[in-house]
Amino acid sequence: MGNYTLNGKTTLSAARKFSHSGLLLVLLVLLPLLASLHLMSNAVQNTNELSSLFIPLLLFNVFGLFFLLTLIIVNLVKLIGQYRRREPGSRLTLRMVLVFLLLSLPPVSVVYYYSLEFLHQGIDSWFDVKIDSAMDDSLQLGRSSLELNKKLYLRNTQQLLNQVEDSSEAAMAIGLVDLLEQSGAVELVLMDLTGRVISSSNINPEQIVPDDRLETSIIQLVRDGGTFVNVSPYGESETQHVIVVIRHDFSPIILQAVYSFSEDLSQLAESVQSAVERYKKLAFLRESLKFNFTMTLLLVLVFSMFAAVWAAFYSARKLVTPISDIAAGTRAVAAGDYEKQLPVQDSHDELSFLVTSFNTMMRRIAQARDQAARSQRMVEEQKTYLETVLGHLSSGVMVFDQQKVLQTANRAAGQILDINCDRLIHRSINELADCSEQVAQWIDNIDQALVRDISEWREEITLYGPEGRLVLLTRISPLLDSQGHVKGRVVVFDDITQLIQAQRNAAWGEVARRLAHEIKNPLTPIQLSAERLRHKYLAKMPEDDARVLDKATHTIVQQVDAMKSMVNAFSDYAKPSKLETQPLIFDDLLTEVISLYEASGDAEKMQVVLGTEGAKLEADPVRLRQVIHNLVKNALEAVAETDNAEIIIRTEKLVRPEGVSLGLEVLDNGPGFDEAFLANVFEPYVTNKARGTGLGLAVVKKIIEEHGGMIAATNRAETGARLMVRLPAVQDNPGE
Amino acid sequence: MIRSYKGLQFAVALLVTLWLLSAASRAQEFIISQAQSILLDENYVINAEIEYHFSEVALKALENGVPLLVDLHVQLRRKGAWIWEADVVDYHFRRQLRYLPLSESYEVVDIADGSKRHFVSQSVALEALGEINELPLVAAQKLQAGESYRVEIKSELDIEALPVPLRPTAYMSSQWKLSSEWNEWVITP
Repeated sequence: MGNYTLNGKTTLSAARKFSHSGLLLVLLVLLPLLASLHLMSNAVQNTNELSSLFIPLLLFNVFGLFFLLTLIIVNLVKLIGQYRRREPGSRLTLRMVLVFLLLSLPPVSVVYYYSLEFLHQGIDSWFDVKIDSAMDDSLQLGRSSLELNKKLYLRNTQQLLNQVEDSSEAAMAIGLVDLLEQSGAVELVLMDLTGRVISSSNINPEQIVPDDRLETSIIQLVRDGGTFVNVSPYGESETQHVIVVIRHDFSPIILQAVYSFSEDLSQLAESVQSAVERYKKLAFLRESLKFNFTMTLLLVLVFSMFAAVWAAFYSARKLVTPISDIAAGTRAVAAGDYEKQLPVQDSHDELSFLVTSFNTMMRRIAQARDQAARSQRMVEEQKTYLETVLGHLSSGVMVFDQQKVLQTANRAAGQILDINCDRLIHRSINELADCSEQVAQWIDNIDQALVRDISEWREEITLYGPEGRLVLLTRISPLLDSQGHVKGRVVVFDDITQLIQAQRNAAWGEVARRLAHEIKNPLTPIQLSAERLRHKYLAKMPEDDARVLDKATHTIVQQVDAMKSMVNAFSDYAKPSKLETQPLIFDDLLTEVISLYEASGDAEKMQVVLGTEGAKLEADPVRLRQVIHNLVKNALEAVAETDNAEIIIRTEKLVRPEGVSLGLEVLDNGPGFDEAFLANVFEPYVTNKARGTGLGLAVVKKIIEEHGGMIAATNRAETGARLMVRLPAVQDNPGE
Repeated sequence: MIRSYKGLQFAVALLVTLWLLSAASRAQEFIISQAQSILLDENYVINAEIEYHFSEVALKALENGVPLLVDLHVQLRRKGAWIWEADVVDYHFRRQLRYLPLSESYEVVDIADGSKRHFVSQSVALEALGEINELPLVAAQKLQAGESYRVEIKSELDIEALPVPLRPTAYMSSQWKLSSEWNEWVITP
């Protein structure tokens, strides 16, 4: 994330630098472009030496505008792409560009139109119709004046040529100098009909060869009998001269006479020609001038337009960039990136303030998020700690909310209730009750207490299940939130079945010890005294008395023996036994014990089902035989008066997550246990038989528990009793 | 997309055709009908006849007092010279044609020496404009005997000499882009 932010900052910084350099580049183009437009407008007027720079300036402007146009097109294409992709800011940019365009186009167009009109009218006004007419008139006047002079000089030349009587070439050549003096011409040239110069005379003696050779067309004209008179610059002075070319009437001779104008007339003619020439040139250039002004103005218009559009792009970008940044920032926040910091503009406007505020907000959100993450971590640590503590508690702990939905349960709770608590989390208490009859009994007891508004509830609950009696010491406390409101109940319960049993066993042991001490000891003197009485007085007493004594002492001795047996049995029960364990195959041991009943014929009533698959257990074989004998004997006694007596002895191997155990079930179809005794059937001296010590099942239970097992007694659904033993098996292969 | 490519191809073909047509039409404006160089007094001189067919616009400008300046570009280069080898001769010979409204005549001026000639008719003036007589090319001693040299001449109307207001139009109009083809021949001293 940090890298991303760093890269993002770098990119934005680079983009800003690029934008600044772009601005600089455009300004570098715009300013010279503006300057060149100014120079061009001066150049158009042809008023100074800038006129020679008109074309380079024009080219520079065209290229500059082309550059601007390219820039705008690139921006426009980019903008259209952004608009289509619906990128943030693109609509605003487009709107700003349109607004700039609409704001700048009308005034610039109006100025352009009226400037153009003004210029065209101004230029046209230079060339007024009257001036045109005056210029034509002056030219015509000049020409008329020249024509007059031309006619005079033609007549003069013709008279001059007519005076020549000897029209031979030689004679005329000789008389040419006289003719020059007589005519007042500056030059006379005598030519044949092909234009070849025969002779010439000039007032300037150094000028021997005439300046210009006559045009062929003039010679042709004159040769055909025509005359040629023209006014044109002549000689080195380039002043206006009248040139007359005529042919001799009788001879094949052409005479060219050149007359100079008077200086005033020549100057006037030059002046008129120069003025007319200049005016006509200007008039001709009028359209070009208009075109140039129009083009210059058009360039200014286009320049203004392009500059406005580019400025619109630039301003929009400057305005939109922080908005786009904020949009990107909000997207980053939505994506969970609170580290993003927006680039702050150099300007101190509202947008800059907004960006700064956004950055501050982001920092605070990031801090809050970090704080929340720390808090969450702490909560999780505490939760883990609590779960660890709860998991290692021997007490079962369950938490119900106000709707009696199970929120939490530790491992011990599942173990005590023999349910899978993970599966029952977020389930209602009713669903919990469906797990087993035992759990249902427990739920019945605590259900009311869960909604009762009491601070502490405590009760010892006894449950009866397939595995016997279960006594749970259950405590319920309200679960308070930080405001002291009750948000649920905490149920803590302990399995105190073993504890109660141990207490009872200890009590019975004490009773047995006292019996042995207080009762067994006096029995022997009683028995000895009775036998002594019998031995001493039986023979001496009369027959009747002797019979009474015999019967009495016999009864005393018999009862004392019975009491001794009873005390010994009880002593055996109370005395801790010393087990001599060894690995035994449970099924083999059971088969061996059952086989002892074959001689008596009782085995016929038994149906033995072996299902431990040769599983072993670590047990004292003598004590375990006693257990099996007791259970079988009990069953036989129970079915003694039952027709179709049937005893089912069944073994099985039970594989559970907590370990492998071996089960032994002894079922009979006798009358079953009296429901009143069922709860205490394993207690000493609890029996429903007329004869018996009442210690049989108590001893069985004691031996089973000494082997780490358990025993349970229930009545079968139809009739008869069911005794169920569980003993831990030896795991030959822990992997199984 | 294919359609736009076709349009582009058509536009390019049209532009090329127009350019070729304009080039062909330009080639007909000024024609060097004859050109040769002769050795005269140890100097090579050029005699040439150039037919100047000015456009209507140019002639109209001339009638309205705009002088027209034609430029004859003369180059002499050793045949087979390397590209970096300088030309032996490279110069411009210019003449100006001007109309004089008062006398209704035409003036041809050699720019180099300022000499002027006047003509009553336009056709004669144009003839005189294109008549090159003994234009100095190079002194014979500057050329190596046995080497061949290529002489190239080309005449064109100098737009830069036109009045400034007319130049933008002249640059953009084919009516003003008047020139001849390069005319060349070889001399071997």
